[in-house]
This record gives sequence, structure tokens and C-alpha cells, in this order.
Amino acid sequence: MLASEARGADGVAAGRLGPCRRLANGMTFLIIEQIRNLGIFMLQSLPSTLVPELLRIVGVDGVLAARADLMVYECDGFVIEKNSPDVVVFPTSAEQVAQVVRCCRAAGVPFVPRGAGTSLAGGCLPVGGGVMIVLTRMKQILEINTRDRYAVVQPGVVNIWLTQALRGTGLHYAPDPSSQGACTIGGNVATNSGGPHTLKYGVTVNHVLGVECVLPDGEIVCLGGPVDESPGFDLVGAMVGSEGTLAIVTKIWVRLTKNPQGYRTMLGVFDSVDDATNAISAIIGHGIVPAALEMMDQGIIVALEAAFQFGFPLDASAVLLIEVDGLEVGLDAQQQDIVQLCQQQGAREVRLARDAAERAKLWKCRKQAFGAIGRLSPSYCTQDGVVPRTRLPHILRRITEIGNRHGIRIVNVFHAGDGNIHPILLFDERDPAQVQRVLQASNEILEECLACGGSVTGEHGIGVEKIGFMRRMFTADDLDLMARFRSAFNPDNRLSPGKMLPTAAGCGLEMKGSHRKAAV
Amino acid sequence: MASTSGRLPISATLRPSDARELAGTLADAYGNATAVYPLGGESSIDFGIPATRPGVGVATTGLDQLIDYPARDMTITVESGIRIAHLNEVLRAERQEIPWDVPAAGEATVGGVIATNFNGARRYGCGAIRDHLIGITAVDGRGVMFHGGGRVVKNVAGYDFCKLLCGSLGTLAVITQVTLKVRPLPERRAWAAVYPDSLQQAEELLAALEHDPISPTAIELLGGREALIAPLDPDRKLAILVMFEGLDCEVNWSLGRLREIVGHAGIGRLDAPFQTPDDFYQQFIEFPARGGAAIVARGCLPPGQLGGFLPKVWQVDPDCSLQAHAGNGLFMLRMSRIPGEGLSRSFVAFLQAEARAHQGSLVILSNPAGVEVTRQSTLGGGYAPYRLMESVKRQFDPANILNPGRFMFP
Repeated sequence: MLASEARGADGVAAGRLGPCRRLANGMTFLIIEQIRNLGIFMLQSLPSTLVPELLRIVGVDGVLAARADLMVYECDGFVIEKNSPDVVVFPTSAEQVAQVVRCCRAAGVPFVPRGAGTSLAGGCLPVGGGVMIVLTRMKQILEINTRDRYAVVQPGVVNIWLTQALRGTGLHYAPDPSSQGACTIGGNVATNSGGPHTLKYGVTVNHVLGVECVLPDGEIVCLGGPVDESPGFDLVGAMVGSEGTLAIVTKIWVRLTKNPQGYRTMLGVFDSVDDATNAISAIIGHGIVPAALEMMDQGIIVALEAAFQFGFPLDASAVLLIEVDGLEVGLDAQQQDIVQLCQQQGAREVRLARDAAERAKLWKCRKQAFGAIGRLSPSYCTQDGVVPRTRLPHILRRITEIGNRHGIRIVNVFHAGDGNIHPILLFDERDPAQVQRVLQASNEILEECLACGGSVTGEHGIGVEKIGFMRRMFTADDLDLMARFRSAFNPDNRLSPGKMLPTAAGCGLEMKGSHRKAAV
Repeated sequence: MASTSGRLPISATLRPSDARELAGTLADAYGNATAVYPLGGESSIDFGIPATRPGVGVATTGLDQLIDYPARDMTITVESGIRIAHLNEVLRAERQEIPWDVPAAGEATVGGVIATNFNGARRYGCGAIRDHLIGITAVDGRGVMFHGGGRVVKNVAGYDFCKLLCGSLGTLAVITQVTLKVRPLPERRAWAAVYPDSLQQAEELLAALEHDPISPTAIELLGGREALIAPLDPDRKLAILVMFEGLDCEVNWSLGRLREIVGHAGIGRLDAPFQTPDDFYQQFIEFPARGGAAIVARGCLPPGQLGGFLPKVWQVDPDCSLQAHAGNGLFMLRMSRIPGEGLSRSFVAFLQAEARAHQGSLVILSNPAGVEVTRQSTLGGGYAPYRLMESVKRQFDPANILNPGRFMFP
């Protein structure tokens, strides 16, 4: 079977190309014949030798090129822009990635890495088509070192697998994006993913010690390693969050974190959003650094309650999910302080998770909040912006006002302690006028984040979605230097073209393919 | 601490009063291909290889303004020439701090500390410089001012120039302004001192600390006369210092727990809490910068490899003193003399190779006499892809005017 078992890491079977005999190396002619017979349609855009070369490198089980199969890969979690790659390959080793990259380079075609495809900003969109390098078959946990608290993983390891593998060691991998059941650590490195617990523990970059990567010229290099620092520039730090535009990461040394001795998880119930946001400022201002401090507004509470029946108060305007962790001996005092601070800010009540099961359920609700939104509307757009924590009351008021003005309902569930908002704009994608209004409202919200001195992305990345905002956040000199920096790694811009930097004038690539509008 | 005049081949030191003026100075230097030696508090002026290319000093000490301090957001934006001691004074007024314990804090500037990536013992519990730096403004080797990051604690827009400039030793750009993430001052701090009899016993304790819920802010392994300063027992070969910070009840629990762990490890002597007058901690922090060492070297290994590597150091120099941030595997060595067989054999061929064999690195940080220091000994070889770093350097400093010859690049 040609790629019959290929599976998008988002769990969607990529489908079958059709029957094909396993072919021996060197039988290029026969491979081309097979490809023709199988009706692969887009190869005229690629040099004729490329697909046979790719088949030789990754084997017939490692290539997809039929239209139906490629559809799975035409977008990620950001679905408003779509473009099909010409070929998808599934390498299983760094050496195979390097060979594929060299092949693409020789053929002059663009190539783009992809993990689970959970990016919400189009980080995996194959702008300009070309070869998509899917890393989900590189899914081994290569080493766990509990003495020195690091693990070595391949990029296709799903985030939660690592923490599951660490059970019983007293350690965990701290970055915990809400998509941790699906997203890969390679993808987390590309976007510098966050998650609820980054308030205390930091984002992905704070937990990556080193990477092995394939440069766009096919060279395999190691940056950093199982150590805290290495001589020379901190290229590891620059690689994390580079959205696949510098190199393709094929191995990662991650730092492991001690499990806290205890937790106290609280749910603060508020009759107004302002009171809830003021409580956030009060807690942080008091010198408490909670492990997590999440806010959910009434719209999301209703959806969550319908989905999970946790017992959320349906008439509350906002709830705060607050967790402190650390040494057991200090937790009750911190909890008491938090309860008191919430009450001082007008909390109707502060509930405590009674046991580990209740805590787990609360977190399940929080992390699956996006799934529950399906109950509210046919389509939704999750935005990602950041403001200084003290500007939260202001930005939430503005979000409500912007939503009202555009006739778009907006609900909020977000990392309040970090000032990282995730307004969710609800709409029906079948109505083009609504889609336009959603886009307009999104832009206005992000503009307001900038006006507050914040950022247009706290953890989802720029991808293709927010390229237009880069000129608002950075000067022409900043962007020019970023392009120069990229060229130190990726001089031809053949790796992940059209991403992160506004290169419309520079890269000369245009979107092709279906370019369908869909849910944003 | 060396003075500027003796250490760098500079005809004059320019002291711009704002970032724009500094950018103009660098643009002129770029136009004339004049070497520029960025200067902060000059507390690390003897790092690297003695420079030979004539040029000018460009001091950032005129850029010392506090730009913005929204204390409830727990961030602060300052110009790079502000002194660390001054910064911490400002923060303490709001019961906050930046947990960088650096030598010569009255002199050292924020920009210099970031460029040298020097943050001391509490890195274990509080994070490295890079973890606190959320926004940066700097001027590259063309005189172009640029920004990275921002003023909010979470931000993934664009390449992370903050990380890139940490530890870049003034070879990519001159930092002019930074935004830092600060932390609340802990309610209490306490130290405990333990005296293991051997490196094996030390490793047993260090490993036990890693496998316990106990959460120290710092774990230090000290060896040699210059590290075991009063009131530590100077007659012991090794000491482990453990620092706890937090609520009073947390610190008390931790000290008690440490006593149990030390008991299990069979170590006889524990001073907990160890009475630490402020001047002890100050002296402790000054370890790498105190004069008198023939060489100061800096290395990093996976923490569990320290015990295997250190005997090699003492084999080369039995009187060498050690201060290791043992929880992180970072360490400083004060070597008592230039080894008789020369640096290239004893340091480069032997100790650097041993460090690599233990999955880490070792470089010469400063060598006051400037004897036989090479690029290989100050930045090592084989640790990182030089070609890639050179390529990055070319983009930021195409005419190679920033700190030429002192560090990685000729």
C-alpha cells in the first residue's frame, strides 16, 4: 500500500492512494509508471525526478501525493487560508529529513515541516505548495534522565505522552497547552507554545535545552544539549518560536520539572467581569505567583456546564480557576490569602477542589473548553492577544463593545494571570457577511491589544494569519533584521516561505490551489 | 578588576546620553570601519582575548534611565546602563527583585550582565537571565536600532532577539534598553551548609535533592580555599550550600527536610540554618571577580557529571577553587596558576576534551595576564556550529566592528 497507513497527526487518517507494489531502490521508471497509473495529478508542477527521489528516501509508505490525501494537509487549525502541498512525506529519521531537504533544494521547490497541525495561525500552511515534511512518525522518547532532569524526544512525540511516560518519576514536562493531547513537542518548539501553567513555569522556550535540526541546506546540526548553557550564541533560544522558518527540528532535549508536593485549586465565582479581573490584579499584586490563573466568562461557563455538568453557576458573569502549588506546608496560607483577596474584590463565593479527581475534572473542563463551543455556534474563531495584566478590565470591556458593534457574540476563556486573552468569536461560516465582521472584530481586538502595549500573539504564533500585524508591532528596521537573521539559516527562503515575516515583496510566492474560505 | 585603559586598545571612550546618539555613534563607526568596544560597568573587561585592533570605547552608562515600572504587572523597563544595585533598590521599594546575584553589582550594568549572561546561584530556582528578559532594544553593527519581544510577559511575535543577545558578549549589538520580568521578594531566605567528605558523598546528596520535593533556590558545591570562605569551615575540602526562599513555614520545613536527607546520605556535619552575614554572601557572589586568580574558567555539564569531571581539574591544579551552581551544572574555576605545561596542553587538549567527554563545555572566562589565550580556549571548539554563528554575526555586524578579536570571531 502506498502510504496507506499514513495518518495526519491530528488523528485524521490520510487515506489510501491506491494499490502499489513495494518497489526496490533504483526502479525509478517503474515508480513513475505507478505514479501515473495512480492518477497523481499535481506532479507537473514539480521536477519529474523529485517524487521518485522522495520515494527512494522515505519508501512508498512514506509519500502521499493524491488529491484526496493531500486535502488533509491543506491547512492546520487556522482554516481560512488553504493551500495544498504537492507532496507529503513522512520521514522517520533526521537523516531522511536531511535527504528530503537536499532533494527539495536541488529541485528548487519549497518545503515546510508539520507536526500535528494544531497551529491556530497557519504555521503549517504550505504557502507556494511544494513538499510538506510531516514529522509524526518520529515519535520516540529517546531518553529520560531523572538525575539531570531532562528528556530527549523526537519532534513527533505528542506533548502529553512525555508526561505520561514520566509517571512515577516525580517529574513532568511543564508546558501544557490545551491541545496537549494532540500537539507535538516539535510543533510546541516551533510556536513556543504556552498553556495554563506557564504563569509560574514559563513557556516552551524555558524548557528546551537543545535541539538537533536539519538546516535548509541539508546539514544536520546540534544546538545546545543536555546542559543549561553552551558557549556561543543562544541559537536554541532563537530557534524556539521561529515557526519552522530557520530549520527543521529532529530531536529535542527538554528540561523536566519536579512535580509539586501539593496543589490547591480554587474556583472564584464573580457577578461581574470587572470584579474578576480586579481580583487577578490583586492576587498578583499581593506577591502570590499562582501556578495557573485562568478566567472563563459566562458564555463559556454555560457551554462548559452543558458539556461536562461540573456544577458551574450559570448566572455568574465570570469564574476564575486559580491554582497554587508547591510545598504542602505553605499552601493553606496561600489559599487563604487568595480566598480573602477574591472576597475583597466582590467574589460571590470561592469553591475549593476537594480532591485530585475534582481538580482533574476542573482542568479537563478548562482544557476542553474549545470543544464545548460547538454547542454555541457552527463556527468560531479563537483569537490570541496579550495585554499587561492590569489592562485586563479595559480590554475585556473593549472586546464586549467591539462584539456588540459588529453583531458578533464573543465569549472568553483565557490565561488571565499572563494577560493572555483568547476571545472566541462565534459565527456561522455560511454567511460571508458574518465572516467579514468576524475578521474586522478580530483586527480591532488585536489593535486594542497593541494600543495597551501588548502583543498580537502570546502563544499561537504569527503564522500566515497575523503577518499583517508584524508591521504594526515592529519597525521596518526590526523586520529587516529579522529577515537578515532568517537568511543566516535559510538564505533562499525555501523553508517555510511566506511565514511570520511580511515578505510579500520578497518571496515572490503566491497562494495557489483551492484557497477556499472556511471557518476561521 | 582591570581598568579600561590597560585592557582595550581604545583612543577614546564615547558616552552617548541616549539610544539615538549611540546609534549614530555606531553608524559612524560602521562607515569608517572603526572597531567599537561596548562598555558597561567594566566589571567584565578582562573577559576574552586581549583585543589588538585600535578603536573606540562606547559606554552605555549614560543610558541609565528608568523608563517604566508598572509594579503590579511585575515588569520593569530600564535603559541598559542602569547599575544592578540601583535596579534592585528601585525594585525593593515595591517588594520585588530581579534574582541576579552578580559580582560588582554597584558597577555592573543591566546590559553588561545580559551580554555576559551572568546571574549567579539563584539561577537554579529562579531561572536564567534569558528567562527574565522579555523585551530588548539594541543597536547592531551597522548603527541600526532594533527591538525584540515587548513589554508583556507572554509574546511570541517575531524572532526572539532577547535570547539571541543573552551571552552574545557585545559581538552582535549594543543593548540600549530592556524589559524584565521581576518577582516578589520572598518572605524569608535561609542557607544550610553541609560538608561532604568526598565527591561521591556530595553527588549522593545532590542526587537526593533532585529526587525530593524539596525546592531550594540555589544548590552550590564549593571546593578549595578561595571558595570555602569564612564562616565556612576552611579545613574542609568540600561544602554544599543550599538556599531556601519562600514563606517562613516553607523555609522551616525545608531545613528540617534537608536534615533528614543529609542524615540518609550519612554526612556528619550540617549547619542549618547556616548563619550568613550579608558580607559572606557578597564575598560568595564576588568569587569569579575577586582578583588574584591566574585564570577564571567557566563551564557547564549535566549536573550528575560534575563528580566525574572535577578530579580532572584538581589533577591539573590541586589548588584550584571551585564554585559550582551544582543544581544547574554551571561552574566557575579559579585556577591558582598557569599550568606548567601550558594552556594549550593542560586546558585545551585535556580539560576541554574532558568537559566534552562529560557532555559539557569549559572555556576561559578571564585571564588577567592575557597569557596564551586563544579563541579555542575562550570559546572552545566543537561545541556549536561555528559556521552558523559566523553567519548570524555577519548579518548583525557585517563590518565586524563590535568587539573584534576578543571572543569567537577574529
